[in-house]
Amino acid sequence: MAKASAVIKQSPEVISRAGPFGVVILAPRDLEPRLLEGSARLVWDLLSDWSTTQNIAESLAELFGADHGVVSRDVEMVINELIATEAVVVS
Amino acid sequence: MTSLGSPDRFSNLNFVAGVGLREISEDEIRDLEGMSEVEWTQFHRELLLERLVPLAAYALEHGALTASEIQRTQINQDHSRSMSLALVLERRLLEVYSEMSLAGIDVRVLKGSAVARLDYPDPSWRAFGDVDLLVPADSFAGASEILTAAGARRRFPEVSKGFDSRFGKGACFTYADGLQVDLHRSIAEGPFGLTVDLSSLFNDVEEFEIGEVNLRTISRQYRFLHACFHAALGDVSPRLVALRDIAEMLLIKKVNFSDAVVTARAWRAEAVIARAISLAWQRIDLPPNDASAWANSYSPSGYEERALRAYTSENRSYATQVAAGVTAVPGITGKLAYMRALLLPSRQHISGRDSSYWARFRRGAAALRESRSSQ
Repeated sequence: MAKASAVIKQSPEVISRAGPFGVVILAPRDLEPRLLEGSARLVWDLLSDWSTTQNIAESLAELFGADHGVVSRDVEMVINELIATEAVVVS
Repeated sequence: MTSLGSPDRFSNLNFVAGVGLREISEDEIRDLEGMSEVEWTQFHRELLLERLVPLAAYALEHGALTASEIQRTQINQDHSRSMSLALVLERRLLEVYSEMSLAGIDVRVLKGSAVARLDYPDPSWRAFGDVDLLVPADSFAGASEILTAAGARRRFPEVSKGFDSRFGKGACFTYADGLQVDLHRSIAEGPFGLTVDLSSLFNDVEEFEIGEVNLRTISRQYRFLHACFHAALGDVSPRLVALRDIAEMLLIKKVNFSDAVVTARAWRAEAVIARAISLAWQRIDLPPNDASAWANSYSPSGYEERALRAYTSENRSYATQVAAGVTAVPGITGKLAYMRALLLPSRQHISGRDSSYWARFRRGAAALRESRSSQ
């Protein structure tokens, strides 16, 4: 599990396609493509630049006017999954 | 707004095939909701067959189509599935491309991924169903071995030893997981495939990137010519996506049409380009331009007419096309070698296509007769 302050970004090795359906990604350790929709897609888009779980959670909580704690837990879950499949790289 | 609940479902598909090529007025917006259940099912099936789902998804997003929530969900799910397949195919492409490159084979990516990434505004606009690779004739056997060693199985054996690397278009390989790699020596079967200057395809290179890996493909002008060959000669009625490729490259990517015609002339294949453009303009219903005017007024030579017949006549077949190729093979020695290969194929090839040597001989002889009688 990565620290909330760890600086992370989309791995350049990931291949992806985005569309009105969301985004499908195929990371080095993925056996099959993974569909990211809704807030998971937003997390992915925000990871096109170096960022932290903390910053992403803050941005999304502000965007949706949602509880920071709830958003943080969701974002952390998505990012941990992306790190496990090497879809994101840690600086 | 036009309701799509009309019997003219083909024009509805044609409309989708043209989305993004020109501005659409409010009167032209199409409504899918007006379709009956049966019409929607048919239209939906055709979208999949013609590989137009991505364009339908963008038409919905940009308001050129309107649809019920159920229809929209179905199209978006199909789009997501077709893009997932594209990713899986691109991973396989990276594996195969890297193995062939490591073996010293000068490989080029054709169609699918290269066209999606280089010729469309976004790769998610273009669906594809296999991996296509072009290799030099003298590397064909080596490239086939690499695919076989990786677990792929060749669908039809070689006609006879050495036929692939000298005369063939290529071979199709399938993996246990259902993925398919088409290995090409040329860009068409039969006469038009035999007059292509293959070395020029390798000399004019363009690169594109998948997951930080650089891959080589043929230049846009050759991609355009290949798209025309595929659309005009591949199937009697080409997929709309194949026609869209042609329109996309001409209208959006502004391929140098005059240069393409000069190359086609050198390949004795202007009729192929003319047929492809005419079909694209007719079926996608595009406004006339210089290219379509040239295509519609082009008068094929006697050779071109005879050669085209092998691809477009009702009784077209693999045998008819290769038999018609005799005229395009240069020199008496070459022609004899070609005919020998057709009439005396390998046992493996026969077991894949014909029941016996005798059946093969009769089919080959009939195809040669047919080809000669139409000359």
